[in-house]
Amino acid sequence: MGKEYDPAQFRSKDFVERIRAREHKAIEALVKAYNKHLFYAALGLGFDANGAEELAQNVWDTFFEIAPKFEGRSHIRTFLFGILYNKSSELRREHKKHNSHDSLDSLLDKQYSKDGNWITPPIDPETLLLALETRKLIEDCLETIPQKQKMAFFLKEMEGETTAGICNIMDVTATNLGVLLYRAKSRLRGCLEKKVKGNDND
Amino acid sequence: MITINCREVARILHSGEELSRLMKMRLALHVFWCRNCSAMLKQMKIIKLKFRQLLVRKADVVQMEKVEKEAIEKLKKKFPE
Repeated sequence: MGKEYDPAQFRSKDFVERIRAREHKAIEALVKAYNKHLFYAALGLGFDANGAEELAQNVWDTFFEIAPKFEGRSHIRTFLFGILYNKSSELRREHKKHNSHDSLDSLLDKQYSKDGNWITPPIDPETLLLALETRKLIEDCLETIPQKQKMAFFLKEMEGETTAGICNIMDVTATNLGVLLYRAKSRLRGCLEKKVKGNDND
Repeated sequence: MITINCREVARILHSGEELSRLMKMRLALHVFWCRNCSAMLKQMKIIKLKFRQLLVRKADVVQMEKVEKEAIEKLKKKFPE
């Protein structure tokens, strides 16, 4: 591990050809560059350490099989996360749509008044920070978020993936992705606030 | 310029639209003046930081190295050059 690779090199036509030919050195560079990201993604999706290991291994096995079909239309990273997303859904058997039919407007209506202001204002960030320093709340609250929302949140906020990239990986529209991200953030914040307030009242 | 409200900020941020520089300025201005949206943004920063720390804490470097090693070995065995 340890050695850093420049993701820009993976975009070159020459590199794509080497991947398609399953050239060991090229694929080894990929494994070294992205294995950590895949592992984090699996953990972010709620898999335990062993589950993350199995999932990451699964992604690489699949990638080696289908590497000759990789055309380089998307970044290799996007391609790998796409495999991970599909494999994780298979493992969890959770490839269902989670209320994706809800529109963003209907979700916003629950959080904001008609004049566009917050119905229940967020709690003080300092209070949240203090609570998170002392209690393992994040882990508990992540459990409450459906897989699809977790994946969207992880890719956007942890990996900094572009909207187009995430839509490609998860096979969703930009509008749908907005809804997924909004739901993930609202649920996470809502859960944390509830726990923090609950603790304050104790 | 400053008539944008909290709901509109959330809608724009999650619309998937490409934001113009002017729109980014309007959003930034709103967040600067709005105590609630500013608190929400700070909350999200804290959540992201803690999420990242959680992943790093949970990830076992030895296990990650093992996956790397095994993956490369499998590749060489299954698809020799």
